[in-house]
Amino acid sequence: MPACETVQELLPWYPHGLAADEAKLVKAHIVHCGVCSEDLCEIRALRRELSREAPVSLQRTYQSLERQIRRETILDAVKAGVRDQVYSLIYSQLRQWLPVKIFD
Amino acid sequence: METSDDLYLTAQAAAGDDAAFNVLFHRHAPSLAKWCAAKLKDPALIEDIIQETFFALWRQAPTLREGSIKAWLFTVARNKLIDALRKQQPLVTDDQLQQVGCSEEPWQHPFLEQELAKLPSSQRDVFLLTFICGLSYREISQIMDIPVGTVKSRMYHCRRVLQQAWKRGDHYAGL
Repeated sequence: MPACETVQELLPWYPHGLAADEAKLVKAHIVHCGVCSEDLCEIRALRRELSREAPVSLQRTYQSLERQIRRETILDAVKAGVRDQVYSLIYSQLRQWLPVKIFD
Repeated sequence: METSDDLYLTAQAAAGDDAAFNVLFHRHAPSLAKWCAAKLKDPALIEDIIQETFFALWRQAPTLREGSIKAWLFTVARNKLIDALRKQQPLVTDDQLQQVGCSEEPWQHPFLEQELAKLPSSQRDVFLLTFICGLSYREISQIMDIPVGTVKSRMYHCRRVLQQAWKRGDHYAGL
């Protein structure tokens, strides 16, 4: 059985932040060690305590990111002088912006 | 497993697969946001950092063929976070900068806030990246550019400080 010291070094990352063999080693130890088992409970409690979501809208961020990427894609095509691609990108943009099926 | 899957998705995104990029965003943005929220109060600024980080991923995707995409994202976000803090306090030194990040941590639990605020930022970052973001010690080593042994020793020190404060009569709120 590995020493408590070795296991305690790894405990904060158990189980998903460890390699498979490390996780196996920790698991084998805590089954028999009250001290390390108690430490793991404390670590899990800390993790629960800190698991709240960030106060931001990731949906809004993703939508804004998509707009930025579309804009950059068009600008890249303009810089590269690929006229057909520029028209194609602008055309696909217009299709998204205009709800009426005028392009079909 | 997730690392190889991330690399596959990044390659797909580089080839223009929007769905692959979407998966990468929703897999990693929540933990990046949590980490930024432990450093900054302004949600708009946090959203900007997340957006800029994933925009950098979109730009660099064709060149990212190995390593951990998660660690790469956190490294980019960390640099952008430092830039954001510098812009807020343009005349401070690096050491003072760490204190800026520290003083702005909007923790809900006074015990954690008080005890973590006493630690150097280098130690606190290891704690936050582990417990808030769920990163492995190898990923933290890569992001912070320090040996894995240093990651472990910083974590050990953080935990001892929290435990000693607890024994002194403070307590973990809600535990």
